[in-house]
Amino acid sequence: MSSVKVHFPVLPLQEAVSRPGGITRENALEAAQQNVREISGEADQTIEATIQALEAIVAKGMRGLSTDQLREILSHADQIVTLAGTFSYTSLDRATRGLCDVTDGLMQAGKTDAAPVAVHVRAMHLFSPLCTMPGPEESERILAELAKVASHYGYAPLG
Amino acid sequence: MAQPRLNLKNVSVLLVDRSAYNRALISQVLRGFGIKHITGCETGEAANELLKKTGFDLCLIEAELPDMPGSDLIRAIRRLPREPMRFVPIIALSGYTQFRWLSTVRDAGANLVLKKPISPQALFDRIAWLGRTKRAYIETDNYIGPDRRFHDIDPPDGSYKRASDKSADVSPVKPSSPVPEGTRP
Repeated sequence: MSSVKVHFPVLPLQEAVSRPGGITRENALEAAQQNVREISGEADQTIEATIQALEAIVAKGMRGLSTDQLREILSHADQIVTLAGTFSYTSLDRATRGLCDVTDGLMQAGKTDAAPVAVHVRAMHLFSPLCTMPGPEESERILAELAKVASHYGYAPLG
Repeated sequence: MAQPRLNLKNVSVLLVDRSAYNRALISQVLRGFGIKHITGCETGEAANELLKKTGFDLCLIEAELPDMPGSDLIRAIRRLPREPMRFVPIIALSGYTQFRWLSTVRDAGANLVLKKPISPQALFDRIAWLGRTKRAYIETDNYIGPDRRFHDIDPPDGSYKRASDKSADVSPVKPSSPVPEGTRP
């Protein structure tokens, strides 16, 4: 018969937070946001470098992407989703989520098509913070075209 | 009335995430909260090695690491021979593509799950909740981790999953800092 033990541990985190002093929620969030703003420039460089890494993978795999390449694309794309969300690059965020959905769908279906991946990566390049961004209408048009690609393949959103 | 304060100055955090930039970003947020002791690791193996020698008060672990699922690292922490490290509060971090790992990190013994991109608000409120809420830990043959039932306390986002959870219609005590977004295990 399996045993069940119930523990009531005294956790150092709980002891630490109850000590006198410390910071209010308001001050903590203000300081955190200020700290994040300090490295936003690096974020733009990281996004650009990551998009270039994606372009290189796609260029190598135009005749068909291997599972390892698809996995690598997902890993890079996940990073961009995080940064685009953090710094409110909405169009880039939407295009990259689309890339994740399509790439994951290809992996799950055992397909190797590079075209749907390439079109997403091209759009992401247009939305890169270091490029001149398309206007709102043009952005919506591009994102609508990407949505058609995802819809054509019928892959469900991941999140 | 004075706002409640949270003293995180002496809290040590282990942050395991494959991306150096994400580690830098989350570290900046944690420093804003007053946390000074932050150790970053890229891989589960590096974290495992570190945990043999050092203890931490809080762990933030990405759901999918380059060399192993985050759930493997969480499971290893929950099976460490020494207390209180084996019961350390763990927040699992999930990227957009890692959603299917959520049930595995929950079953491995994570306390909470936080979806990236991480907002300072969501992270602060979860740390505050973990610091202020005493919970039992359950140890069975195949699970070691926090008691996932919420009979007597509210979950951090005020949502309820089981009929036996403390329900909203019995005047729940709302968490002192409501958590606006993200998920819990």
